[in-house]
Amino acid sequence: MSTLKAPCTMTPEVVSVSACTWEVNGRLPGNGTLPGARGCSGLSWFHINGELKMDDEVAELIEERDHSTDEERAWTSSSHSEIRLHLPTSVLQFQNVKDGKQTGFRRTAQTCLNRIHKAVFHHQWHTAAELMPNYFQILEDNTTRKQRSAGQVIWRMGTAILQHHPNSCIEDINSFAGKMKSIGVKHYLKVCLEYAIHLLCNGKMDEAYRELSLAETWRYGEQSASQQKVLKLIQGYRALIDYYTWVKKNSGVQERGDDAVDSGTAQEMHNYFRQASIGLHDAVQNPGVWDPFILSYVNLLDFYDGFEEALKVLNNYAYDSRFPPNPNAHVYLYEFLKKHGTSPKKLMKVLRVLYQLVPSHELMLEFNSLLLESKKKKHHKEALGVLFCLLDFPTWKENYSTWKCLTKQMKHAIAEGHSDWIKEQWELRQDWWPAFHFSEYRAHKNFEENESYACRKAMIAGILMGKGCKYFIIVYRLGRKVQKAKLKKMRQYVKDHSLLQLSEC
Amino acid sequence: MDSAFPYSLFPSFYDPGPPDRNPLDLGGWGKYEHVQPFSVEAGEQQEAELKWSALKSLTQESWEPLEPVAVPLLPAKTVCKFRPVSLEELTYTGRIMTAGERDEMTMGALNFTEQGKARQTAISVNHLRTFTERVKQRECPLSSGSKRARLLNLLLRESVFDIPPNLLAENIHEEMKIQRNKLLFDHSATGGALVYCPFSKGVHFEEGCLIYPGSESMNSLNFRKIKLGLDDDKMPKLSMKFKPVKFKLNGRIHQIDYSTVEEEAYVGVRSDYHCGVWKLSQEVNPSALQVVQMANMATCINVSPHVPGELVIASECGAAYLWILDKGLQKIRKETDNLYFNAQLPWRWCDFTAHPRVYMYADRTGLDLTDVRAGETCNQTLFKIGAAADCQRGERVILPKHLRDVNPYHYLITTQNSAYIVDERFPTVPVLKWVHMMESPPMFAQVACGTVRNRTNKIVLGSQRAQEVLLLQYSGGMQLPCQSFGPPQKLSSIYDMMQHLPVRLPHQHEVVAERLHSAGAGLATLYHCRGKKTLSVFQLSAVGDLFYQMLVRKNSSANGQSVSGASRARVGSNHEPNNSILSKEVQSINHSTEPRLEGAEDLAQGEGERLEVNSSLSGVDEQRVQSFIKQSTNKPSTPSCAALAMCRRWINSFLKKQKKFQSGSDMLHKHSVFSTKRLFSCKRFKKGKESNDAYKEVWDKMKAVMEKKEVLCHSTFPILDSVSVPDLVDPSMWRDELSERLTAAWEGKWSEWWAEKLGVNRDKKIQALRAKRRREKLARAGQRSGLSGSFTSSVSNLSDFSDFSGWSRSSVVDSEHGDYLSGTESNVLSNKSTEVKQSIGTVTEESRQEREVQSNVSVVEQSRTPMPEPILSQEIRLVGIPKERKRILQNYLAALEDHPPQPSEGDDGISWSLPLASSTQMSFAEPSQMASTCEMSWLSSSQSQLGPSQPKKKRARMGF
Repeated sequence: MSTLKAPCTMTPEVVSVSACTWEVNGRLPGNGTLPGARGCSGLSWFHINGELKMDDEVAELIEERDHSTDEERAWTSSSHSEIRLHLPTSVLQFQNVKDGKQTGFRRTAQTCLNRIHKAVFHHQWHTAAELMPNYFQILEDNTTRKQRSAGQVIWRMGTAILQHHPNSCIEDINSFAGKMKSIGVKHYLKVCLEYAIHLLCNGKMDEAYRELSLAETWRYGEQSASQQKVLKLIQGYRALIDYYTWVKKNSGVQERGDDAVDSGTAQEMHNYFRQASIGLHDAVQNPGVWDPFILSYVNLLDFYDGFEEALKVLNNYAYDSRFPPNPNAHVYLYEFLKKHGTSPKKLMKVLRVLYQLVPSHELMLEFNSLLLESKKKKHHKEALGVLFCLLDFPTWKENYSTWKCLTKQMKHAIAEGHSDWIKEQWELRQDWWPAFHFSEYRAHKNFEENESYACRKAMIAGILMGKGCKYFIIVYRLGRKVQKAKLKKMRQYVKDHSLLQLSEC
Repeated sequence: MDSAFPYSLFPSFYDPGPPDRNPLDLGGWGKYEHVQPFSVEAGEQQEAELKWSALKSLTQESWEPLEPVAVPLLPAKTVCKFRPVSLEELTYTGRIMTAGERDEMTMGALNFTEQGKARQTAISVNHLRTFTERVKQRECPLSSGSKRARLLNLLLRESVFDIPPNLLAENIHEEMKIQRNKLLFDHSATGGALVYCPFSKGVHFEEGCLIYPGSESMNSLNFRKIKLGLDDDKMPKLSMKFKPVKFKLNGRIHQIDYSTVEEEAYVGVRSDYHCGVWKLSQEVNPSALQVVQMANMATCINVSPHVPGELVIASECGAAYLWILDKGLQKIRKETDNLYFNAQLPWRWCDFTAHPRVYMYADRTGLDLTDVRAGETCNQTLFKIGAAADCQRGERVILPKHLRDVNPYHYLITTQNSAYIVDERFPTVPVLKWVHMMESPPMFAQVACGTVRNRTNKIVLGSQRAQEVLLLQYSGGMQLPCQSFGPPQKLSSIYDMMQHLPVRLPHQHEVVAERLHSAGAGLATLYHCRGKKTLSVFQLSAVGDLFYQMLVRKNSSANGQSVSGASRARVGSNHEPNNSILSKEVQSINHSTEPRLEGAEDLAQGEGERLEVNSSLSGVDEQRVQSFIKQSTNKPSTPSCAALAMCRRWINSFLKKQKKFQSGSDMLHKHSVFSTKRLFSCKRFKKGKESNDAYKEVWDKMKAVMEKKEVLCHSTFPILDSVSVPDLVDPSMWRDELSERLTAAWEGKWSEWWAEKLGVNRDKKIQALRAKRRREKLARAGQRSGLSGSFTSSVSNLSDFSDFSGWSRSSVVDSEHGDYLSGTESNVLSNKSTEVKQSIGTVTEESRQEREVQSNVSVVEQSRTPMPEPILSQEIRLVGIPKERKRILQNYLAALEDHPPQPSEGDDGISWSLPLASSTQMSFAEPSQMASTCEMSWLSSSQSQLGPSQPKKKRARMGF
């Protein structure tokens, strides 16, 4: 019989019964007392076929409800409903089926839990805290399965309430988390991790580090797959903290100057490096999104001259097919290569992959300029395509500098005699760009907001669609009053170089 | 910049594959899930800069409802014509017994005490024969409720059914199952048929258009301007004063979607087989642009946020089309199978993406991006049900939504368990996931975003069946990764109104509760983020009711939930203001409150209510109650007067409609019968017998009388003293108003008396008279030749006085008419009578074929005097009357003939016509006073109308 007590002091004006003091008189299954995992019976709803009669079906639903972990819920069968849904309890209440397992005790507990949920949903933390101690009696349930699930429920609901209750203090949460670690071996790591994150969010990095290292070394029997995952995360976060400690120490060292480094400090530094790098290395092996881990790991390796190793990690992160297509992987690789002065060709190669993945990425402007720097015509053509692609997206729609680049490059292409490049791009877009970019409304609006921008856009519109297009005419009419000479010149240019002109030739 | 991608995402595992075994369903409480550090650039030192931030952050914007319940926006406009079937009714699990299985039936043969039953269960062979003969004719030879039908059914079992009962039962089961599933989840409503389209926003006001379906079958499209402003107390207030613009469509509206492109809003409307587009802007009223008809059921419509006049639609056959106005449909994609696994579900969805020529295509198994530029092969997975998204088994996509204004690269996807935010730049891995813990899957969603940078976006999810509304907050997606803020918050559902309503009669309560429980049909939000920030949530129910609730931002405690590092420090500051308010309100609690004045007033009310609630619970620790009260009032728990008034108004309008409808339908079932069988049961008398000897005596005597089968009256049952019957009261003696009224009331004409008295029915009477005259005029032409027919029918058609009067009146009209022709009435009338005679002659000619009446006719023909002619016509009419009754009638009429009334020529035909009228009406009873008064009154009224020509008219009738 273990007793939980999460003490809490209250503000003086609040009467003696504390809202946050929960006394658990029920038995919490200790770490070692659990019997072997008694697997839940296979979910029976899968086997229901259409031939069964309605009453059979509901009877089975009820049976299913008994076997499911959450006893208040039953599901519609898969036979005809579109999707699997909860059957409302009201349906089952009226049924004439003997429901032996649904004892009054459990019903009471479930009602209590429902009310806690309701209070928490409406953010009535006081009410929820009041109700919470009443729910602890579920721990006296005579089935182990129920006890185990109840432990988890208490952990999660309790944490939620303590996190948001205006009267709760950090000690409450600490002691609660401490008690909750004993709700079952399966959940020990999860509780530790959540608690460590809580500490981190509250700026207690040292305590979190201690918590994580303890959890990392905790061993109990066979580990399930989910436990493995949590362990990896714990390892990763612990290493991340190691890394930041190292960064802190390192910056201190840097400030003092390189000369002052004694062997002891260097050793300490190296220890941190070693711990961090091992942890991070392990963490990023599994497929996943490891952006913060990768960044730190690469930084570490880079510092200790592990260029090859870092490149390998980044390449793996970006190109391994087991990993999800994370745009950041390519961004990191590009930045790393750029930092180390890799050839533009290699940089282009990385960015081209990113271009395929995310054509709207901010780095596409850099890609464009890289392509322009190259001497090859092929690249110039590609650069034009990249810009057109950027302007397809609504987020780039009114980006002045992009339009400016496009004007410049179109002019360049025309001057080089490559109007066909423009034409090629335009053909893909001619059915929707006029309405998307060059509508009458937009002409007026752009001109109001920024005249030179509107003129630039008008010129592009003129080149693409001829001087007869609405956008061009409107901007021309509006602009003529202000900058006559400039617009005349522009009109002439458009007249000479529009794509219509090209097709006529 | 809008197009930035978060530089560092939160760590997570990636596991492509089918979903795992379902873990314990704990909901999404108390979890941070993941964390990563963010270095804030401001500080010099690393340690000060480093701040760790979790994926599920505790901080949140605190939004509080102004009213504790959702308030009706408009009075109820519709009423359900039939009681909707409930889920419970469709899920009956008890054993349904057929009559054959019944225990008593099998026992019946042995149970001799119930021999009487044999009579009940036996059926005559004759019946059986006629039945089997008639069963070949298609129509049912028996009424379903009859005992004979039941017995035949038992006997013949399956042999007479078109569909074997077993098969029929199975089909009904199947149908019930389908209906039940439809009640649980009806995918046609996905997306919702309610939108709010903002027009102009100021600091303190906002104007927009609410678009919603109305009318009983939800087929009229309403565009209604609404305005958000501040009321006198600086509280936000909605005004709905503008008249809606309505369009009548020919199908139930399932989904409405809109997009504002270049200051013009395009509104797409979907019904089962039609999709239509409307255009509107602030200045211009909505106008319909185009409609398309679909061969398959349409499942989705979405309006392009990029290019004006573009829409996408999808249908159940799996095809998705791009619909460019004026250019027509263009197929985007067609999939006959589901995308990622074979779920065999016909529902499809499509939407726009960040790129105007890439479309999202979805079904229950996931989402796909289709690039139409590159042909049909260029598809990319955006989201699929599986382990990568940490899905559960059985989870399916319910509603995908492109978050156009919030972040064009983002999608909100809801399933039965969770809500996901997916970034199309990083497909398959959701950037954010909530367990929404709603009872039924969220089918409606709105996402509101603030204008400021680093804003929190608000997701409002709405479910169909339970009408829950959930508020989620998140931020990020541009420079910073997506982060959720605070735990989910449930907003009040429509049904919550019930507990604040005044007590009503049980059946009214039931009707209102049922109405409030009806499924949801749409959800819209109005997020006003300038000045006083408000978030209004509108809800539409499937029966067309509109409700709204308004939330205001609570500023003081925005940081309230973050736990500060200092130990022992009180976390959160939102407790302090509460306390001050509490202390204030203690004083104000006694004041008569004018709610809406201040938050504190509402709070005070809430306090009071809570106190009541708790004190009513017996056995609750007093102290606990006190502390509970002190702490737990964060919200006003009683609606303000204005809100209550709105609720009451809605209920009254609804009940009025309901009553009106019901009174119409109740006409059919008016003749309910009360059984008096058990009113004086034997037991009671027995009880009496025990107590008193006098009773016993009475009882015995009564028994004796009854055994002799005598009538219980003074002579046979002398114990009772004879009570003399009071003299008849002649109401004509009492001429004062009160007596007249009482007389009228006695005759059941009380309300008519009052109507007469107050002259309420004057217009109606005049109108009725006019209508009658017109009708008769019209009927004249056709009736002239068949006049005798009309007359006879008036006689034989037992209680039909009106025809009779009609006849006489028509003759009057005719006489008036005759005035124009000849001038002298007598002339015309005599002409008329001859005409009538002739027509009778023809009738008799025709009826001669009827053997039964023939003899009579001949008799009549022989004695062709004016007097017995009505009898003749009566006899002609007897053809349709059963044989036995005919005999009686004939006897009676013969008797009449023997003793004809002796009318004096100068006296009128009243006394003559009287027996006829009374005989028909009073079923051969002696002419009572009542009938004669009726007759008299009618005659007098007709007299008054006839005026001077009356005597002549009567003579005309005598002419028969």
